[in-house]
Amino acid sequence: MRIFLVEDDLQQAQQLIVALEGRGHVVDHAASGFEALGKVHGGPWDVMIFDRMLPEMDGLTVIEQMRQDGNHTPVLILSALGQVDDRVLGLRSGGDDYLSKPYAFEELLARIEILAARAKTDPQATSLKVADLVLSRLDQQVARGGAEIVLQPKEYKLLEYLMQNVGRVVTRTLLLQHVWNLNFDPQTNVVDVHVSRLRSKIDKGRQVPLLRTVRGKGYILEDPSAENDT
Amino acid sequence: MEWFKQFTRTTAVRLTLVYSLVFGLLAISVVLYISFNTGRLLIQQFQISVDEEVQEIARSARNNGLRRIIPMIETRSSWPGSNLYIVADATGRILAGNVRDLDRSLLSQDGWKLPPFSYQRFEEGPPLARKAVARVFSLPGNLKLLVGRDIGEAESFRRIVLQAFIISLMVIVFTGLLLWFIVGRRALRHLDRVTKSSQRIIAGDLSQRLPLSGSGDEFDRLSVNLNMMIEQVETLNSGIRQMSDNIAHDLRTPLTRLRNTADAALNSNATTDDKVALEKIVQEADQTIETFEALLTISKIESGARSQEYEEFDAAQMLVDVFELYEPTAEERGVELQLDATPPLLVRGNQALLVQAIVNLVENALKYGTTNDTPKLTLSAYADATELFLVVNDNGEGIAPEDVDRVQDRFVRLDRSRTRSGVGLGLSLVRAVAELHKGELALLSAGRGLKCQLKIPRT
Repeated sequence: MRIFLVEDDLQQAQQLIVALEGRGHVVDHAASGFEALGKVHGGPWDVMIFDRMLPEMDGLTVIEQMRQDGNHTPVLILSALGQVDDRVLGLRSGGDDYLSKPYAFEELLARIEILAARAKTDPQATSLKVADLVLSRLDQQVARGGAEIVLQPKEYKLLEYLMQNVGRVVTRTLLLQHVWNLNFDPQTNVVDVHVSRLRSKIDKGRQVPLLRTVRGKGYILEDPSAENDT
Repeated sequence: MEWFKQFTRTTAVRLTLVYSLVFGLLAISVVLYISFNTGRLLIQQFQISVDEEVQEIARSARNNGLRRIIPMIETRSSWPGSNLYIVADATGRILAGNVRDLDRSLLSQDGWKLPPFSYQRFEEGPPLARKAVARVFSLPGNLKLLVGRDIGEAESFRRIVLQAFIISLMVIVFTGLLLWFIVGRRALRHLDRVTKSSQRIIAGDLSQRLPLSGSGDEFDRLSVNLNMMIEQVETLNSGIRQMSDNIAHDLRTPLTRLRNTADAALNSNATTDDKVALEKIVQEADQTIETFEALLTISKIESGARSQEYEEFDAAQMLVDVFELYEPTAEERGVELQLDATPPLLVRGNQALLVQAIVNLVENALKYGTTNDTPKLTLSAYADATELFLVVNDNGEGIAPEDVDRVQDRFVRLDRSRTRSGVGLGLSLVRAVAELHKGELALLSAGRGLKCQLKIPRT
C-alpha cells in the first residue's frame, strides 16, 4: 500500500515508517499542517494517517479542507486525545477511523488495511460470499454449502463484518466498535466467546474451517483454498 | 415542632431569649421598686398633713375647750374629699366625725395606725370596705381624736403606675420575641444555605463556595475566610490530580513504545523462551496502559467537561445490548444471567459513558459476585417520572457495610491478596459517570448478594 503519514513528532514518525516499510508498505511523510496541505493531492495514496495535533494547522482542518477539494482517500486519525467526544469530532471532520495514542502497531495495521480495502469494495453489495459461506443482505440469511445457518442478530452483524473484511485481520477492538458500538475494551474476553459461538455455527463439522484466531492480534475469516492474493 | 427545635438551637435566638429574660426581670424589679416607693412616699405626705391637722385641732381644743371641738370636727367632716375624723369617748363610743364604723381597738392607743385598716363612712349607701391610715390622739377630758386619710387615691395611683409598667414590659417582651423571630429566621436561613453548600463540599464538590448574604456581617466575614480555605484545598487537590494525570499522560508514550518494541520482537524469529518473556512484557504493558487510560478517563469525566454531549437514548435497549454482549460469557461460566428491562425507557445522558459504567458493574459482578453455588446475575432497568434506575444485582458474598464508600475510591480493591486481575478503577469510573449525570451510585448489600444501583435523573 502507499501510505501518507502526517505526524509532527519525528521520532514517532520514524518508528512508524520503519514498521510500516517492514510490512512492505510505501510511506510518504509530512511534519506539519501546511506541509500536509501542500502534499495532500500528490498521491494517489491508498490510505492516510493523520495526527490531530499539528503545528501551524490542526489535523482536522487539513482533512476538512481536503474533503472539500474532493479528495476521498480513507483517513485514519491518530491522536493522544483518546476520548469518545474527540473521536466523534474526528469522524465528523471527515476522518474514516480514529485511533488514540498510544496504540498497538498491529491495531493500526489492521485498521489501515481495512480502510484501504473498504474504499475498493462495494458496501452496498446484496450478498457476501467466502468459499461456500454465503450471507444474503436482502433477507439476512446465512447458509454454508446450501444449508441454512440460524444466527442471532449480533452474530449476523459479527459475521457480516468479518466477511466484509475477508482475508484481513480484524482486532477485538474493531469488532467491539463495529458490532457492539463500544469504544472501550471490557476486561473479560466477551468477544472471544461470541466469536467461538459463531465459529461453532459456521465451521463445526466442516472440513474447511474459515474463521481463524490470530494469536495476539484478532481474527481472520478467509478461504484457505484461495491463497493466491495476500 | 422539629422546625421549632432547630429554631431555638441557633445562637441568635438563644441570645435574644437570654436578653429578653434578663431585661424582663430587671423591668419587673423596677416596677416593684417604684410602685412600692410611690405608696410609701404618698403615705409619708399623708402623715405630714395629718400631723399638722392633729396639732391644729389639739391647739384649738386647748384654747377653746372641748365644746368647740365637736362642731369643728363636724364641719371638717362634711367637706368634700375630707380626711377621716372621729371623736370618741373612753368607752369607744363615737361622738362626732364622718366614720360610721371601724375597729374600735384602734382608738385605745395613741399614735400612728400605719398598716392600712378598713373603715366605713357615713355618706356611703352600701357598706364599702375602704382602707385608711390614721393617727389617734388623746384630747383632754378622756376623749380620743382620730384623724386619718383614705389611701384609695394612693392605691389607684400605684395601680396606674403598675399598669403602665406591665404594659411597657409586655411591649418589650413582644418586641423581643419579634426581633428573635426576624433575626433568628434570617440567620437560620443564611446558615441553611451555608450548611447546604458545605455538605456539597464535603461530598467532594470542591468548586462550591459558601454563599454570602452581601451584608458584610460577621457571617459573611467568616464565609469569606472559609471560602479562601476551600479554594486553597481545591488548588492543592487539583494540583495532585493534575500531577497524577500528567504522570499517566507522559508515561503512556514511552510505555507504548516499549510495548510495540516487544511486540515487534515477538513477531520476528525469537526463540520460544524469549517469546514467553516477550508476551509477558506486552501483557503487563497493556495492563499498565489500560490503567493510565482509565485514570485519565475518570479525571476527564470528573472535570465535567462532557455534559454537553448529552443525547436522548433508550436506556432499556442499552441494557439489552449489554445483556446480549455478556450472555455467552455468563453461560460459559455457569452464571445465570437475567434481564429485566422493557424498551423503550428514554433518558438524556452520555450513552457511551453509561454503557461503560454498566459494563464495569457487570464485569465486577462476574469477577467478585459469583461465589454462590448457583451464581445468578440480574440486569434491570426501570424508571419513575423523574429518575432512571439501572441495577446490576448478584447473589455472591456481597460487601461489608464499612467498605461501601471505600470501594468506590480509586485503586481500592477489597480482594486483599490481589490475586484477581484489575486495578480497582472500575467503580470509581461508575461513580464519576453517575456524578456527571447528577445521579448517584448506591451499593446495597443486605446479607448475601450485592445490588449496584445507578440512579440518574431523566432530564
